[in-house]
Amino acid sequence: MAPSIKEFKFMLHRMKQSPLSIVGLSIVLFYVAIAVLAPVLAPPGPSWAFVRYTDPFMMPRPITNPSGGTVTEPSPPGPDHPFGTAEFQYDIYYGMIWGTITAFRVGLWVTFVSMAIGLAVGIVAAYYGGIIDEIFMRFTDIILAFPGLILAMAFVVAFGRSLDNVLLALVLVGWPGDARLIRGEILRVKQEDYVEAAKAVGCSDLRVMFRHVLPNAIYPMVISATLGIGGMVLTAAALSFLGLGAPVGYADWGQIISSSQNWIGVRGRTYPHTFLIPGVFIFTFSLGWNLLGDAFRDIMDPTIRRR
Amino acid sequence: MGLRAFVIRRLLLVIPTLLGAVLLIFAVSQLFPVKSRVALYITNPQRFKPEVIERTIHEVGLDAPVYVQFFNWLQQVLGGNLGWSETAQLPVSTTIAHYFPATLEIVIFTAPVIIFLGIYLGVLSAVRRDTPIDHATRSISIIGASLPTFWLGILLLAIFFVALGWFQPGRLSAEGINFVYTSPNFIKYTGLMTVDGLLNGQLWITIDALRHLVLPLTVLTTIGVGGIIRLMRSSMLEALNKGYIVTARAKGLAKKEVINKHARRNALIPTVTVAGLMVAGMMNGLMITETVFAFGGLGQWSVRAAVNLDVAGVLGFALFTGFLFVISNLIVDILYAYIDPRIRLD
Repeated sequence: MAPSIKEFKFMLHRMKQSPLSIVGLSIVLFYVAIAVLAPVLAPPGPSWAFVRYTDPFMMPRPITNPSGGTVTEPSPPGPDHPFGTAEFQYDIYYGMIWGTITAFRVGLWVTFVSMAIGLAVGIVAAYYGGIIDEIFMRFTDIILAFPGLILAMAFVVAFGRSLDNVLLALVLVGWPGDARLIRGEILRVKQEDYVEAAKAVGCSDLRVMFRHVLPNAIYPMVISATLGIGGMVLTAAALSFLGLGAPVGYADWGQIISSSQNWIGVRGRTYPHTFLIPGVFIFTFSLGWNLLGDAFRDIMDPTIRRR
Repeated sequence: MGLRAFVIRRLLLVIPTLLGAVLLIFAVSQLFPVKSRVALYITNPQRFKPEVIERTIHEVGLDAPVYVQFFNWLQQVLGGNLGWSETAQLPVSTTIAHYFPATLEIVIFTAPVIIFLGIYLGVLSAVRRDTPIDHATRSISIIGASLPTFWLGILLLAIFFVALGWFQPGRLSAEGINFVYTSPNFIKYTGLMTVDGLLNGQLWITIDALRHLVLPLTVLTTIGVGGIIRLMRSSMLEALNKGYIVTARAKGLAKKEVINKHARRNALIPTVTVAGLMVAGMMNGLMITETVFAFGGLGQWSVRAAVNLDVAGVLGFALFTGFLFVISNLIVDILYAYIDPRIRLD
């Protein structure tokens, strides 16, 4: 059996052993199921919708408050609204289901694109070295000179407030980290004995890079990507919460919590369903990916793999 | 090379980084229409008026080529002029100076807690590996990393403010604010309410300020301590496996001494770096925490500026925090070189 297949099977075996990684994987799969089944679980435009939005990501809302308060006041969970409604009567259950798709979109898209750019820049910089390396690294240094959320905020203000621009801003802020990571790993692996052996045997530069260096340099990226998805969703939720991301009414977990802030302490009530439920979703989503990333880290690092 | 040569070299490297940071902010500013950018250059709001705005644009040089604009702006920034903030109705630099003490007060109390608690729990976790303590600490760590900052803040507010009434948002209670800002006897020596309360002999102000710091501190610590715990734990585990530890034990040194004197000291090295990175994380977290708790600091103002498209405010804030971050990284690097002599030989 080829060593890589054996190693992969070993990785699966180790994952099955660790309870936390099973939990992480289950959580992630649970959310995948929700995302895939969204049109079934929460059909767009139910009968009580006030406005039939054409965009399925805009949450439907009834024309009056089901629990009898004002139209702006959130109403607690009830027969028509399993999770209750938020400010302006947006249905929270719908927001949670379709918000899962939004969360995946944010996490996967940003991580994937930022990693792609980071890989390209990092590989080129590490491969050519010299002045090209210096220029690229200076460039990443400049972006990394700013705390991430603050620079992302500046970008969003410049591009205009929307979820797509938040994604773009997060990519711009995120790729330097990935570039530095892959560059560091490549430089480390380049010094390993097996690379020197491959060169001595006569492998071309390209073969050495793609057959020997990259496969060994890539797994920190995988770990970083998995952990990054959780963090990305938190950051995007924060930006939406601050009012810089998805517009009001969009099915985005952070955005729903944003409006809940207005009702904390009003008339001595806290309307917990408006922030508890979306918050639990964000928290567990991020937790799932973090647990998975941790499990990957424990399993993929060759120095502690077989301890 | 010696420590001094390293410090000098590192200091010189800061200059192109800072220059690059200014360049990046300038590039972002170019994304805005010319009329919005006027706010970046002037501190007199009269010059914004539609009647005179064209003249102002010309005076300020916004119709000149891009590189000329950049040099003009660079000169101005080095002179301390960051423009006019619409949201604060003050020059940006004044606004930053005004809101900075509140933010600084949070940082002064939170950073030591995160660092020392993180180090302590990380070491504990490593030394008692795979025990319930270890699992509990790692749980705290990963839960903290998965919690949205703003959600934790809202949750704590709902429980401790609305339900229990123990703590309130804001920086001081209403009586405190009234006293601090209107009483002729209260002199703001530092801008930090905890310190000023003591210096003015008004202990209740200090206690009031501390009470309002509890919730923001809890939020920031819960989120931030996880990273330090994790790093300290792994570097401690690595250090404990090193040969010199076994030697020390074989020589007969007490376990406690070995842990504290030898292992921990070496394990602290990567933690110093993370503590520096933590500064960035705190700035991110502060924006959110200050907004949730209406603390009246730099972070809260910056969010307001962003939401209101206050160009000069947002960019000025980004530049300011960028500078702070670069300087703190510099300090960390020098500290790192001081602790670990191997780094200087790089």
